[in-house]
Amino acid sequence: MREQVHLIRVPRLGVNDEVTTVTEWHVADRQAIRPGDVLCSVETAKASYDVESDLGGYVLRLAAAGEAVAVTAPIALVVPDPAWLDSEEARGWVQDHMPADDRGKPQATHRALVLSEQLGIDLAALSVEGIIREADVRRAYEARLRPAGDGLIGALTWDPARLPVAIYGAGRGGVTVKECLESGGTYQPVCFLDDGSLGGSTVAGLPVISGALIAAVAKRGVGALALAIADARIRLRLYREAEKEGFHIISIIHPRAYLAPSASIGGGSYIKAGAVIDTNTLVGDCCIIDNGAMVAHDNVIGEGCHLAPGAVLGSGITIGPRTVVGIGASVSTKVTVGRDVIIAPGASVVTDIPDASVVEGVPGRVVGRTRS
Amino acid sequence: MRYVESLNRALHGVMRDDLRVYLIGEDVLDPYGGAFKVARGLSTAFPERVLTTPISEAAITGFAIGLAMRGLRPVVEIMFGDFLTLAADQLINHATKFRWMYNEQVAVPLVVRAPMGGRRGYGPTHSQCLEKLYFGVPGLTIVAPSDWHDPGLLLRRAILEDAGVTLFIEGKTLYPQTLKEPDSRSRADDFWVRSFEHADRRFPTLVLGLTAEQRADVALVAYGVSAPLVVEAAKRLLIEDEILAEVVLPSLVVPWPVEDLLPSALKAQRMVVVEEGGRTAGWGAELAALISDQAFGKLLHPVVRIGALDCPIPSARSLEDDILPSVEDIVRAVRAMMGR
Repeated sequence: MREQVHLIRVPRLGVNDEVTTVTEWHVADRQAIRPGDVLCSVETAKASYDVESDLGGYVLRLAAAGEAVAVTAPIALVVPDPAWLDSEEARGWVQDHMPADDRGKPQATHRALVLSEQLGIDLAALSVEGIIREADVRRAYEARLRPAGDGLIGALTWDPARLPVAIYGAGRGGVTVKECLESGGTYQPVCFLDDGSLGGSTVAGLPVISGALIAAVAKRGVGALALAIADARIRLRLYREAEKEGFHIISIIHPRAYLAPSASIGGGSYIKAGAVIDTNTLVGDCCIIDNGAMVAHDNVIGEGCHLAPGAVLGSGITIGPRTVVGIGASVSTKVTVGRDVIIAPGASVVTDIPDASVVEGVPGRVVGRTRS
Repeated sequence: MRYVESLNRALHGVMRDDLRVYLIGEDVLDPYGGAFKVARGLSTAFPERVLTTPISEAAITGFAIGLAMRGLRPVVEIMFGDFLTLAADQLINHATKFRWMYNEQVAVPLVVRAPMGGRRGYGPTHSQCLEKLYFGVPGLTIVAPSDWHDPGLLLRRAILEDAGVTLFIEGKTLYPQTLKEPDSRSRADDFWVRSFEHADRRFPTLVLGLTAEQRADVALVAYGVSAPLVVEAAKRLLIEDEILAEVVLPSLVVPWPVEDLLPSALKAQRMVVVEEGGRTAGWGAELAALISDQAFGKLLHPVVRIGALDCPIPSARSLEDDILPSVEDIVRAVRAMMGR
């Protein structure tokens, strides 16, 4: 049957026309027609036109009189058997061939879509006017969680001699942050915040609270936040947003890391056990200097960089924002490395590297570009 | 209602209401009704006041200047805006100067309508936005409605309320577009219409936002055919990056409506100006200078200009797209301004 269905489409009468208005139908649904019969009149910016059927059969109208239809969209079906028009198959067929109708479907930003999937929020159920944003999803989740979340937050306790800290990110990195903070004497980690499905559970003995409840945690008196997020861009974004929520974002420095007195570390950074950062080196916001990474003197490391375990930097080096130096890779003295660069594990960089490069090998060569 | 219908109805209305209004141009008689059908039906309704002419833009314009000086309200239709070069002497050395030269003893209430813009594959001499050649001509007002304005109302005001010379720029790609008509809550097509700055003024500026809140990260400014580009770019920036753009659509091109744009520029602290004409010495160039005069030090980024490349417009549609500004150009520029 399907192969005998004939589609009538709106003709393109002028190169400038995107839509055509169906002004009048001259046939009724299921009416028998002969080849050459006029089905309807349409009007564009420049002309009006009678749409004819080149086949005989029975007609089904797909647009209402007065409706504006995209040029080349289907406006009617002609079939040899009128009974087919009432079949299940016909309904499916029509649906498959009509342009997708997005009206009434909620529009959302990409971030809102990702978060709604993570948190299991149905966007259609949100009462948001306009395009749904991440903050709207967060608010909806917060509203849903409030009773349990409130209980969890209310139960947070800490030693009054120490400063309470929430750790954003309850993954494995978050657990290292917890241990790191506990091994010093200043801070006491009291909970994790996490945007994933861990909310309400316990990780490494601490409660996990949804990231959506960050403001409530701040209000409870947990004024400090430690970031344990692997993705540099998310880390930087959270760093900026969390300050607005009333948090102080701490830098985490393991007591067994060496930090020269003249070195400086930006907010939200994490200096892990065994790392060495020598004289006059500046580390930007939200960097991760991993176990055993050696950073000699007078280096400048941009925000959001990650020096993986055992990475070695000579002196007088500049590294741009969000660059990753892989495990055991080295960068020679006085080299400048751009932003968003990835230096592969074990590579040895001896020349300047442009922005957004992928570097591999000994000596390091640019082998590709990062997406940025 | 479509853009072209709005203009056509306005001409019918103005000619019905005021016997001083004449329409003069090439091929404006029915049944052809002008190259873009803006004049459709006028010669049938007002046969003695719709004059079809030989092919000489200089003659048409000069003739209309004479009508205007003698108290009529002529409207000149230039078939393609590109042909305005042929009317340059009449407009620059005559129409706009007489009021001063004759010590206010004459007025020249003249409207010259011209369709501008590319993306139709009409080639190098029928696709340009040449209005920029007329920027900085003293005494010349340039108006360009977008599909968010009421083009017919603006045309009516230019014909009946303005005693000076007005270049009325119509958008070739806008003619078939359905006009955006905000509902009772000032919403249309996902946007909130935030304000008409100086709405009581003859040629208002429209400000659009995609959120109920007023905050904005960037102000996107455009007129005429570039309006749909900034509108689409604003949607993409919100959906893909959660960057909040405020869309600012002046209908007055020249004199530069700086006071309408300044509040958005100061609020967002970043401004992008988009025009389909060439970027060099364009609308955005002057606007950037004027905004800098008043907002220097208060912006987070220099005003960014996006326009056509400085070369002839090719006939091939794909090449045309490479040369004229695109939504992608705007999105990319804003991301770069925001460090993303």
